[in-house]
Amino acid sequence: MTRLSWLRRFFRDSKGISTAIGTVLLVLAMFVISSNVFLFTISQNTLYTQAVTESHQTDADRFNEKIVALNGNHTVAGNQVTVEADLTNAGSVAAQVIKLWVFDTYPTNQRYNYASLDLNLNPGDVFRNVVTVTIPGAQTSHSFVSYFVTARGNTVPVTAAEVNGTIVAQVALGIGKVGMDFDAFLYYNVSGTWPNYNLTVWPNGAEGFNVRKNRDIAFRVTLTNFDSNKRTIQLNSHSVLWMIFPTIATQVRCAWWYIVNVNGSGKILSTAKGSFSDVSLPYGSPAYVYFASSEDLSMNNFGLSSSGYDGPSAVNLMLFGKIGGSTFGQNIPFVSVYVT
Amino acid sequence: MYIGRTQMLVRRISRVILNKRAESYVISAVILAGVAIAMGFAVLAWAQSRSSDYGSQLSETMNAETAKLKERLAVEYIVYDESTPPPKIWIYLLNWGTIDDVGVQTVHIRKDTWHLTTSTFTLSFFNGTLIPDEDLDIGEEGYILISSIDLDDGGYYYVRVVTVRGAVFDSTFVA
Repeated sequence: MTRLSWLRRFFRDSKGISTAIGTVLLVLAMFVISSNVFLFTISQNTLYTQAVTESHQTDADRFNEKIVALNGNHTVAGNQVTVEADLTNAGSVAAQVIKLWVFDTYPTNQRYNYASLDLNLNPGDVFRNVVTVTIPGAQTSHSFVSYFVTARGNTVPVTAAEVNGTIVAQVALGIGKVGMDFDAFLYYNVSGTWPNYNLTVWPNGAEGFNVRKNRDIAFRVTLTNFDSNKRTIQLNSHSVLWMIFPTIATQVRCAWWYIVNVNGSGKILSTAKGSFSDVSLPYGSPAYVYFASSEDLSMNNFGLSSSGYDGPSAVNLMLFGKIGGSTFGQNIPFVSVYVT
Repeated sequence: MYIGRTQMLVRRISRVILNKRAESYVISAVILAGVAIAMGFAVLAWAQSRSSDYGSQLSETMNAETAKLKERLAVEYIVYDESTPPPKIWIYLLNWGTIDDVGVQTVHIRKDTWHLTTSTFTLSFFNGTLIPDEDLDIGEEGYILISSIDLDDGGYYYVRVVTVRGAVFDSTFVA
């Protein structure tokens, strides 16, 4: 009954209805609009947060990218600078190498160039990369710096091959490019008649620090190419093992053995004039080099050689040839031989 | 019985129609309600308009900020050359970000208190041809060439590249 009268009173008395309608509409409007604004703001914030997350991921990927370029080497032929390096993906993300920059650091030729690359490396991948760029005025004597650029914008400097203490000792305190193994210095007796000569006792020979006077002998030295630029050395026929005796103070007495080619069974192959083939010393690989001839094989035929003197002698190993595209010469003076 | 009810209904309607006493109240109520509704809709429209403006501004800002976040420029190399006048600076750039159309707005070069801001430069591909759209797309490389700039030989300089979207990328070089 009370409820009925309230409703009846409400409908009969129209005063305040407009206020109520207006209020309801306003509240409704504000609610709808603020809800829209709120939801829109939330959606925009979500998009922005997502973009920030992606941005952080991009940066994280860049930080996690770790490419190392080891055993780097620069060689020059004309204006062409060849860069070699072992590229390793030591990071946790795949990487793409897109550029190599090379700089000539020589004071009067500070030039640079680059090469575009497309190398894709998964984590753990190792790739030996050889790239050639043109730098006008580049010379073998110049020093070079280079670095790779990845698709994420990281730069990877090329690290030169390390020269450790052992190698320095082997190349006479770092002077020169060829090291000699003192533990593998042998001599052989040479037997046979023209043009067939053999080294005996093959292949072991005898230690080269004590040899016999007036015997036809040959020496074997073990040489290793330690050129910092990793170029191959070619020894030509002028290379000679030279023995010096302090027999007479005012006049040096000598004996010498020129370089020869020997096959795998101890036979001397280069006996005729001009038959000598240059001996190759690749970087880092020990190689046996034989000295047996009294004659330079580019000028004369092979000749047997022996020492006519006895006593202590200083041995100089005089090497000639080419390194890369340049001429090469080095003297290794550190062996002593006693002749009896 | 039915006749009685019909008569009562007719009598009531006639009373409502013929009774003029409540007319002004009804009219005023209708007018007030109409005004209130009209005001309500006006406020709704205004608020809707304001919120729409706010929404579009927010959307624009967010899009710009998001695009800026995606920009990444790496400086591959900077070289200063004074051997052939006028002295020039080459800034080699790589777009390694995730968005195209990265244009360079200004370049700042600074050393100690000395500072130079320039927008006068060209953007070219590494092969020397000018980039037609003057921006770098994803993975694209190009260089900025700034001419007629005299720097101290051997000086250590800071470089700041500011993009059109407002992202900032810093690097250094020795002149």
